[in-house]
Amino acid sequence: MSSFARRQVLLGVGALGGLALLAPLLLANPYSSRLAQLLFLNVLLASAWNLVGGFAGQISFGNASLFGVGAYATSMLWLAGFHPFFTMPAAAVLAALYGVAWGWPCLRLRGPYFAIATIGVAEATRIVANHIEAAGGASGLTLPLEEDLGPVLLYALGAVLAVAAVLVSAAVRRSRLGLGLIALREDAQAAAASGVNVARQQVTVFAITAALTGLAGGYYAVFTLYVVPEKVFGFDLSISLVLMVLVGGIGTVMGPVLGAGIYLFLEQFVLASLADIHLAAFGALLIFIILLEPRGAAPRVAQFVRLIRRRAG
Amino acid sequence: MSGPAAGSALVEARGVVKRFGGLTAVHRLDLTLREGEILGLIGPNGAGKTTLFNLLSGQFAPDSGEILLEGREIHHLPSHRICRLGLARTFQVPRPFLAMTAFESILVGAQFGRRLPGTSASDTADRCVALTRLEPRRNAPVHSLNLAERKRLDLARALATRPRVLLVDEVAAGLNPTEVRETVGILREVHASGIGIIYVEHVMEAVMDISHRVHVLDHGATIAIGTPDEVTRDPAVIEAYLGRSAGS
Repeated sequence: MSSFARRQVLLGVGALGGLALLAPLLLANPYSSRLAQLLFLNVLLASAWNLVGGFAGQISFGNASLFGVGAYATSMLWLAGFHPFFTMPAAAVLAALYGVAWGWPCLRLRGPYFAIATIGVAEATRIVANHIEAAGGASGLTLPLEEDLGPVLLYALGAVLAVAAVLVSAAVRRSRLGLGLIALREDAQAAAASGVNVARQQVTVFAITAALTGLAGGYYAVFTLYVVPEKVFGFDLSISLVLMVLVGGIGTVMGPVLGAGIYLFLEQFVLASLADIHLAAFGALLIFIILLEPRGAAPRVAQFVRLIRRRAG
Repeated sequence: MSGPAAGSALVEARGVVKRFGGLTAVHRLDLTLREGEILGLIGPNGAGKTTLFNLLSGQFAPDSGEILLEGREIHHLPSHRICRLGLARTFQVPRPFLAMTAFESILVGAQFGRRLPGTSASDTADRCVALTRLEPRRNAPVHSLNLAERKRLDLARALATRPRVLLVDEVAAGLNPTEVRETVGILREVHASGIGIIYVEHVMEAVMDISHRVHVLDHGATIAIGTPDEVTRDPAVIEAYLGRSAGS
């Protein structure tokens, strides 16, 4: 095993151990366990978004289309009699297939053109989903409350998914794929002239993004027990991912994790009283943060960590 | 076409045409780079030199004509495939990957370029760092490199793809005389390692110094081909650069 792989495993085990130690605190009451679930969900979604948005520089406003496919895959298979946890791989695969199906043509576009195309795809998906009667149409699907799917199990599943997403993100960043993505983000023509297959690299990473986003959709269905097109295919969701990653630090491994936490904190504690306009308020905050710290929180936090280490050592 | 005659040409363009709307940038151009050769490609501004590079490297497809690399048709292939077949290029204005270190940028070429068994990408990248005299800047962020260093970085990234043919676009422009001499020295080393070079340059002392033959373009067509001495004496070349003399 390479030293990087060993370090990855250690970090993963360490993170899961830490989350296990925190579990009694976070599972103290239904509200705190819901907060933990939402945090895991956000980390998973933001890390997935960052693979294509941060590393490849292709800003997607359409990840809800992938999230919704995952949420519906899990819900419908669950209602068809499968154990909800075993529907997760199907949620990942179906979302990846859908992602490749529309990502392949759309990723030929770059920058704002790609961003606009993703909005179109996601909105079309939402409207179509509203009309599929087999999937409950606009009123969605309500899932059964099962005794054995308790908060502990949901906490464990969320923790594993979130940690896995961060490890995948770190592995991609270090891989040949990651190097090619950053090259094509910086200059697609120069990357192609250096042998990078720009189209294939982008579709590959988008498939990973889509699979993780589909898993997030499945997880969401399992802990909310209610899936409706306006929510799981909603534009709000897509926008929130962009905001999380920009606030946390785009193109870094830990940025999406920080951004997911910051977003949840603001949403739950600071902006909750503003109810419906909380996205607008968050947008204003985002502009403020970008003016002060355009690279997001991650570089500043990394600097702080280095400072502490130097003091300690 | 095959046989010894075709085998001796590394790159061959035949009847290549490229139009942009009403402008014909390259018009029925024939060009040959022979094995073991440095071919200078000169001509006044707008003669079509950079367009020709973009055609050879697959950035554009020609409107008609064909381009062969070691006897194989490449004019319908995308850039990355042409690169992997062994044709690499630098850019007139360097196009660095600003978010990377110098070494990482070169590693891109080494990891994605032409595959040769038994060589590791990082060894290849390090050899290119050394060849282009970038050792002191190896781990520097690319955005901190100056123009001369960025030009050598472009060159190193192209060389890291292990090309058979290197297209060099104005690598000496904007450099001081010492830097020009250093760059010409690097190109000589590249050539000595068995790589064919097509060299576009406005800095005449550089291109005339190292080219075996010089191909002169004007308005997208060939006006002269020959040794550096022959083309500098050629009346058509003098006219293209300086205009017709008032006495004649």
